Amino acid sequence: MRLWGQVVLGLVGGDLVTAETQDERRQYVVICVDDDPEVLASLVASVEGVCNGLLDVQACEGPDEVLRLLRAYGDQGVRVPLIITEHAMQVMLGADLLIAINELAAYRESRKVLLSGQVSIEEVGKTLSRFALDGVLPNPWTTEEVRYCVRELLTDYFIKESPDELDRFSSLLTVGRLSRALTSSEHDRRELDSTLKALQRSFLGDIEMSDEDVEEAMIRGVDEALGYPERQHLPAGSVILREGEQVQSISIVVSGEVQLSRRSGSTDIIFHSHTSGRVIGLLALARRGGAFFTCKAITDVEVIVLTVEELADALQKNAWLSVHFVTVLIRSLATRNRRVADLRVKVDTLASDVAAERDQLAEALDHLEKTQALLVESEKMATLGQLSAGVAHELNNPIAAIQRAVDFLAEDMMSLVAVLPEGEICKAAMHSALTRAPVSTRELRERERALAAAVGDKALAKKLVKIGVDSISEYQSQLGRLSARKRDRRLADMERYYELGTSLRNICSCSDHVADIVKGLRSYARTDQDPISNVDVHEGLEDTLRLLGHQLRDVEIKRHFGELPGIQCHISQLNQVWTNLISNALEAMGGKGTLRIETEAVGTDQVAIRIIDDGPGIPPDVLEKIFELHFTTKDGRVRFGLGMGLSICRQIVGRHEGTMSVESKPGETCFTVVLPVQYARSSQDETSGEAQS
Amino acid sequence: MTNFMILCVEDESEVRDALVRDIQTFASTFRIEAAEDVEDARSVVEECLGEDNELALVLCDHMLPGTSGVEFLVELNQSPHTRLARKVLVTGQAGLDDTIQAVNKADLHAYIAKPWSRVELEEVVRKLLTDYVVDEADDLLPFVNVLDAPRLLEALKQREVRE
Repeated sequence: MRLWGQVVLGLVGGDLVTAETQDERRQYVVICVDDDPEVLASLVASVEGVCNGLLDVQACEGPDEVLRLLRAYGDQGVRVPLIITEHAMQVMLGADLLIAINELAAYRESRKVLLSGQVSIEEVGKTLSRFALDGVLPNPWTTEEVRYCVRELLTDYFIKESPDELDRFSSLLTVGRLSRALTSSEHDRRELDSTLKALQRSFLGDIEMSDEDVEEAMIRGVDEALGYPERQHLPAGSVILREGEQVQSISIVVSGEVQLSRRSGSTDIIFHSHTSGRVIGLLALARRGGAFFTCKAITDVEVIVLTVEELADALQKNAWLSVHFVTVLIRSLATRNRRVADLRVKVDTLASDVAAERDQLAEALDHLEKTQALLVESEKMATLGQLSAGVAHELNNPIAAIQRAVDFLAEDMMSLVAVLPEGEICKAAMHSALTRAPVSTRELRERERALAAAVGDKALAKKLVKIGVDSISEYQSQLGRLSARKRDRRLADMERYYELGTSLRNICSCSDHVADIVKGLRSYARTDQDPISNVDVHEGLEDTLRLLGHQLRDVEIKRHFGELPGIQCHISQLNQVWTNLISNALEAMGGKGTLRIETEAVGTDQVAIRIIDDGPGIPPDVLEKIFELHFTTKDGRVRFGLGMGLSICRQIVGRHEGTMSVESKPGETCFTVVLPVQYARSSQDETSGEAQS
Repeated sequence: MTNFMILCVEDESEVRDALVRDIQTFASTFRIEAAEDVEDARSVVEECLGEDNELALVLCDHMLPGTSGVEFLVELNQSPHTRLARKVLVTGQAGLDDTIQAVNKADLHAYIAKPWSRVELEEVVRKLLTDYVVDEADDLLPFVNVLDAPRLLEALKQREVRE
């Protein structure tokens, strides 16, 4: 080593003076004593590990050798800052050896340590009372314990005995003790500066250290500052800190793993497990608030628990500790921060996934609801269709019978009346009532007025008009020549037979009306399963108009019917289309106005039907969506807008391979349906339930 | 015949015929007029009032072409000449809303659903006409044969007491 040093120095040349100065450096040696060579070797190795080559470590196998060596050192001026000796030795007890050394003036100041597994309190006491003991190391020892012990005592030694050398050995020394010593003594401030500079250099160097090294250094620092505080061993699952609790201490995790979690609702959300870091509770302590996280051991853990005061004390004693501490803290916070950022990204990703899924579900639900509504509606229509077909069928026979019966009744009454006295007149009155064309009430009153002027009797005129005697000439020919009494009797007879005729006529016309409706209903609601060929579209339109008759009172209907070929279709389904379109038109018109129904042949194989109303028109934004399903739920009931009917219409037209379109402007809305005369699917069309009517 | 009038408003001639015939009991005492729509009914009312008649009772359908029956009854109720007339809705198609409107705004006196029975119709008409003549007629005697005789006699007695 020395040779190598000289070669280097020689090469450097002109710096020989410096080399000589270095040679003249005072020599410091740490002595280790044990009469068991194995223990001695191990002890020397531990101490050398701490001294790191800055101090020589001398091994001695017994007390005699020590004393001899010390005498030799005394002559050479070699200093011995630290002696560690085994207590239980054959020749002499370690305690006695230390007392003996203490007698040597040159080595009174050496720091003296007993190594022992079984030293008694009396012996320690005796040694201490002679100022011959500075520390006790357990046997077996840990590296930590040796490191702590050696550094502590060396620091103490150099501060007190050899302050000149502090700079040389700074990396070996305990900073807390050092700085206190430096400030309390009146040591040159420059010394302090240089030491602190060294510290700073080391701190920068620390950044190069691995996390484990820094953590280890921190734990070491705490041990040094606080005299190796007690470790707490906690089994997996132990709660070290509970969320919300006031934090009175921090925990340094020496080994094992902990996780940090927060409670949300009824579950705990784990924020950190690998990213927890070694220092627990410091943030909460700094905020002076409750713990932010619950900290739980997930393996068996070993922790050092420090109160605020202990922490402050440790940091004050050991400047290095604060460096390591801050480094550990910054690094673990950085790790936690990264973890939080990762979590945030994960949460965002999850949230957007969930949102996408929710949208999909909502869409599916919407679709499902609409489909269901459509099904319900078409099922309802099917039921209604069947019902009306049934009703129409049931009414068909009775109304046919009534129609026939009233004819028979009229014939028989006529024959009966004819055989009565004055039968001809009564028969004439009845016949006139039966065959009279309908007259408006206005017209009747007009006739009354005219007749009243002629006969000069209002009541008589009223009666005459009522029995169909409308003119003065008729009156005169039938009644004029009779006496007043006879005339009144004849009038009463005529009135009776006239009423009879009127009733028969009314039954006739009403039953015709009913028969008409029944016929319309039957053809409208045909329960046909197969499409029928050669259907006249106009008939369907007329049936529909007849059934909607009650809504058409105030509507003028203009038909522009072209020559159409018969088409192939499901009559009842198409009737449903016409009903929807015409009802919508009437609704748009508010029940009054002009409704145009136009038909024309398109080429030879298509027909077009247009339903045109003069209502206010459909706004463009509604028009776009008019065939879409839409409906609202109001008061717990499903209500369908225009679109429900129209979307069913479009389906029906589509099944007939036709098209349906709409154009609208204020005052004119036109729905156009174009249907093929023959459609391809017709042969295998409509397997079952699809053919709804 | 008195100068009191019954007006039937109905657009379907068969129904109108039946209605008019079912109140023939009152024809000896009351003038019975028929109209097929509200416009026609208005001119009948105008004509009658011009001839110094009074409108005692209206039997009116609701679903009429053009102006509805309820609207017509409201109209009658707003005119001082016809306000006192007894008003009856004869209909199969007036919804609840229309009927409520008639009761509230037209002072509707009765509602007869189609199809009606003669007994029911006569009973309602007789009661309402009796009400009307007791309130409005100077001479009650001409009505004793066709209207509610006991009530008319009772009314006559009270009139004598008052005089």
